[in-house]
Amino acid sequence: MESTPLAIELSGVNRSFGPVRAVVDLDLAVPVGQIVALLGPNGAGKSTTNEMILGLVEPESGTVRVGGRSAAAAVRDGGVGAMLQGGALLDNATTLDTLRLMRGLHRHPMALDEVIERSGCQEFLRTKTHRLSGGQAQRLRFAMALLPDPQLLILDEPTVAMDVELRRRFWASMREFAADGRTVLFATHYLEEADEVADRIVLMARGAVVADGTPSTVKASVAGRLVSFRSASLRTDQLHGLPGVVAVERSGQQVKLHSNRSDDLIRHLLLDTDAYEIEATTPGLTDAFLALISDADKEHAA
Amino acid sequence: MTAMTTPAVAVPGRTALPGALHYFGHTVRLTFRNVAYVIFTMGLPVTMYLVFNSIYGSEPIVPGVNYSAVIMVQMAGYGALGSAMSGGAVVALERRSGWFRQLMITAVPERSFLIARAATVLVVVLPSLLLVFLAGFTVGGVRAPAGVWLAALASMWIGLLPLAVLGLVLGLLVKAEAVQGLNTVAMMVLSMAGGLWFPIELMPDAVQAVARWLPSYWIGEFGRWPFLGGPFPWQGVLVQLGWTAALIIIGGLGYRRAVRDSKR
Repeated sequence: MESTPLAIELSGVNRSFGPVRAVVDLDLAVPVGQIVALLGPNGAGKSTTNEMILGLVEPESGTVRVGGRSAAAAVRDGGVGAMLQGGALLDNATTLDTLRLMRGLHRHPMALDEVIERSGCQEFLRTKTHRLSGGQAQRLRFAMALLPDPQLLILDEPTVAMDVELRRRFWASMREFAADGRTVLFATHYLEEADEVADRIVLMARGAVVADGTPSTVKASVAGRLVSFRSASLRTDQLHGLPGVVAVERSGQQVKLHSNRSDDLIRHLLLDTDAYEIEATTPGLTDAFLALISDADKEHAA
Repeated sequence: MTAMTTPAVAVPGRTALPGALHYFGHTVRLTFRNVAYVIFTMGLPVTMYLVFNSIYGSEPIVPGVNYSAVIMVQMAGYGALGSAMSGGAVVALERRSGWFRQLMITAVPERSFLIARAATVLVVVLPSLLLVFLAGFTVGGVRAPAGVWLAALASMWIGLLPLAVLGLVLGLLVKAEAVQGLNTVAMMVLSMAGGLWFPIELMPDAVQAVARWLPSYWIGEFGRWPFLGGPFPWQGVLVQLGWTAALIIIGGLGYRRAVRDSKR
């Protein structure tokens, strides 16, 4: 048993939908108080993982524990609040109607005024849900996630449809909420969000964790450099065979290679190919992300 | 950690009941605030009653009772049947939209939501019944002792239970795209074959035989007997109970799958 209690503990979890293996042998332990970004491309298993933590989807094998109890028990006693991906809103009702309705369904709900203030729903309390803008609807979903006054927040792509300013306010509010020891797990496509907001990044691909650590460790875990250049003649299949190449990105003549033998690669490019405008850089989070995902894909194909 | 046991273990009824009652109260309030719903489910049967009543409402049926009373009962039954079934169809829409999943991450177990929804349906059908009865009194000139009105109203209302459950079961088991159409067809067949539009005596023998096994027929019968006299239709009680039990079993078998299949 670790010294810090765990907010989330998944061990050996598997889940398929028909032929699709959404989550494969997943182990994930999140200590109380951590802000964790779940990162990955579409189909990586992020939503399924979230849904298993919420008890909406049952694992086929393995165990899911939330705050030391089953996911369903944690949801029932108000230990977990969630923003579901594209979560629907109640028809024919205003923001306030929705909040009042949902508030009565929780065991120890947060005061309505506090929920409204934290989520920033003040300006559209009397607006019918179908008239809300995308950003307003997201704020209402955030409010619904806060209503149970949960110790754990699960946010599935929370800032979709928010503009930059709204996104900034959202994360400020979320950090404030997490400041007194609550745990947050959020799934996102936005790398800069994960980098700025999270204490820890868990990168998923094909249903499994491919990298796990602080944003800087995840970046550092990708050794090597990015070499970009332009070439009229090199074909994509040739690029994969170049020295140390682990990932290839290409748009037209512009090529970006991730290589852990960058010196050899550059030498080869200069001497044996028509490559020009060659540049070598240290990868950022985006590049680390792409490299790790493409590694996972390769292992899968092998 | 299996789907079959966790919710039951996790929920000590404490919050489940107040939660379900709260949901029931709010859902009733929101339903009555929905203008389109109110107009269609309450306005339509009253209008149809007024039309039919003006055509053949003044024909005497038994000494002292005009046909107007029978039309009133049948249109009230038809209207209530329609709103009972469409109340259940909302579940299909909420499953598709994903709202049902939102409800599932609360302290209230999914089964309680369905029971609360059935209770909501039974409340929102009351005005459909009352309005047609009111039109029968004021426009149709139907006169009877207060006890007769109450007996008709109460037995029809209780008799609507299997139809509220039917709407709910269709809402759970049928896709949102199909449920509206299926509901309309089921409602028309039940109304027509159950004698809510025309007396079943006008129907072919086969339809008449089937009618006595339909819940819609007995809603009409429950409403007619206080006005027309005669013995209480006990057979109807058995038919309604049978339908209710069968539908609850079907719904119970399908609901967990239906809940899990709600839009992800």
